[in-house]
Amino acid sequence: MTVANRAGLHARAALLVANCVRQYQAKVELVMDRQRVDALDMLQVLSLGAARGQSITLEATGVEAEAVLDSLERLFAAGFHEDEAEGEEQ
Amino acid sequence: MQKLQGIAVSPGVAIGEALVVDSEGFRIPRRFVSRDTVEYEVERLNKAMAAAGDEIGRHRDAVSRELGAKYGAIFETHLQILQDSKLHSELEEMIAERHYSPEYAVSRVMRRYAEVFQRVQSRNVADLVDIEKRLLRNLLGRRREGISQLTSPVLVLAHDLTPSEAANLDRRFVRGFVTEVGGLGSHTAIVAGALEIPAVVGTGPFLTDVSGGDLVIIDGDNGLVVLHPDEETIARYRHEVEELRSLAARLETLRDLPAETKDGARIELSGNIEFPHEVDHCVDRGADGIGLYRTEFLYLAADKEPDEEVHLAAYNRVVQSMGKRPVTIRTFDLGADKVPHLPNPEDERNPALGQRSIRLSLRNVDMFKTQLRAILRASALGNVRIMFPLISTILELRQAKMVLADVMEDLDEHGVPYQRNLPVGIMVEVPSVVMMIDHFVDEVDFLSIGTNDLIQYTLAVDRSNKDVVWLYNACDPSVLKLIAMTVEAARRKSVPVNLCGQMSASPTYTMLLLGMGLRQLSVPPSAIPEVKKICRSVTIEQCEKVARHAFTFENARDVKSYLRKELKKHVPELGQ
Repeated sequence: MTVANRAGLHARAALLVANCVRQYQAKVELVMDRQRVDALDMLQVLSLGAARGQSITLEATGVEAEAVLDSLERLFAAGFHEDEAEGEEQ
Repeated sequence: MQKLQGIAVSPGVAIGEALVVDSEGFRIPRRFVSRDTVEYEVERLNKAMAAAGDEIGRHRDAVSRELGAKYGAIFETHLQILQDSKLHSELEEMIAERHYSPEYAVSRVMRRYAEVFQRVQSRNVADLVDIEKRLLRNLLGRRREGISQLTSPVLVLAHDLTPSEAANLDRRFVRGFVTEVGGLGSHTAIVAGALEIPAVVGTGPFLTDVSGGDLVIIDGDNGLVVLHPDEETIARYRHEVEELRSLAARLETLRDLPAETKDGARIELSGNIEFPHEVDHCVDRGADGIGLYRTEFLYLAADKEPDEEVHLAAYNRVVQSMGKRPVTIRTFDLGADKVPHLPNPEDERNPALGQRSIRLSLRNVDMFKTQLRAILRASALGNVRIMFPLISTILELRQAKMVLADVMEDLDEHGVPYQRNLPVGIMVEVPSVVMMIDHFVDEVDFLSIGTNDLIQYTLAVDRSNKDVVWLYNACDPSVLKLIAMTVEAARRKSVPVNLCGQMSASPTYTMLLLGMGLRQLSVPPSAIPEVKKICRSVTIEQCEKVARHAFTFENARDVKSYLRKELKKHVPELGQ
């Protein structure tokens, strides 16, 4: 996946990722520059400091691995809904 | 090892343990816990983390309710960071394996993450600091330690110190200061100077790289701070500390000898002070008087305006300690923005050129009169002189003298004793005064050249701004010319002239100043021995030759390197 939004994978985006992962029975790891972190560990995700244009590999295991990856793919592609109305954010 | 360059504001070298003071005045010492209490300490950490989590949850709910989910999400982020599984295991491991106290572990780990965040340019650094503080608050509870209670020697490292923090530090244990912000005139600089301990300010951010208890070196001569020094560096600085100590011991033998040149010219060498207790430093070093008693801390140390008795108590302490020797008290010299009890100025976009100092005194006549009454009352006990700062026109001087006359009349009416003919003088620190100096010398009893502001106003440079500070030079030929004009005008009318800025304290300039005709110098008490040593090592003829040659250069750098060379030649001991 490529980080598409201007601000990069900052706190709000990382929160959306974590919230997304929580809805599925799966464990997701983000891999960037040989660093591997659990998608639910916010501090580690932020420590990656993924900026715009950075590519990140997502790896999922578990019963709903496919589904969670689909969902995350949409989230990344939408640039974490950065420019959308407030009401849509969760 | 990591070296930081800042601005040297108080000389000397200190090696010791860091005391890290953050914006809330926390101190996080390196502490170890014993093996048998590890379990208890881990439990304490878990409780603090849970409590911090609850707090954040409550904030999130309240903020979401009042401002909307978007704002509540900020706290949701904090909660998620706090619940990071790796963070928790790292903290536990530090306590269990390395036996760190939970407080130290938290400050250590969070600061390390803050460094990572800074490196990857994450905008969430502030969030980490916030979480760290919350955790520490929960861990320390009421046991939060302020910086006023210390039990062992420390070097204070802080972002900035408020005047009251700086003034309330336990003097017995503070061995040096470093602040991330600030310049030559900052409170930290003044307090460090008064305590005669090394200080470096304006280093830029570094507190995330250091923890309480770390070994740190402060090199106040070169404005350097060394974090985590290696063995070789420590050894080198230890050697330097020894050298400084032995030089100080040698200079101490000059204590009871006069500041007199080899050819018999007597130099009046006085001390500059800020706090009454510094008068002891002056007496100990055989000062000829107090050339500059700054009174600003009376206004800064408390939230309300100091009354006459507060002023008087401070002045009496100084005047009585000096006996017959003169004490020059400078009236209020601050901007309204610095004084808590004055209304905030409306139009102060440019404080250095705004309503400060004597201008503010003349605007707040009651406050001014309170101070003048106290100075006059103190004059009954010794040899007191009054000095008005930042005078820029002759009318201002006359106005100030009129207020003084009013106060005298008032004291006469009430039969309060004071020294009727006490000398009244001004600081020469605005170039306009030098331009009009022939008029001023007819209306004052003495002049005192304040080089710090004179340089600032002549070269239009703020010395606390590190982007332009390189332009700030005491020996800029333009500044030297202004000093020469002042000295010459004063000589013609036999008006005593003193020089009290930082320039007088630097051994580099002593020969030049004597050569220009100055016979009164006022320096921080710590500089008295060195300056006296130079006076006693040279002749006026030599100094005059140096001054003549110094005036042939057209830029500050050449003047300075020439002066250094001459100092080395004439007083090798001080011309390193």
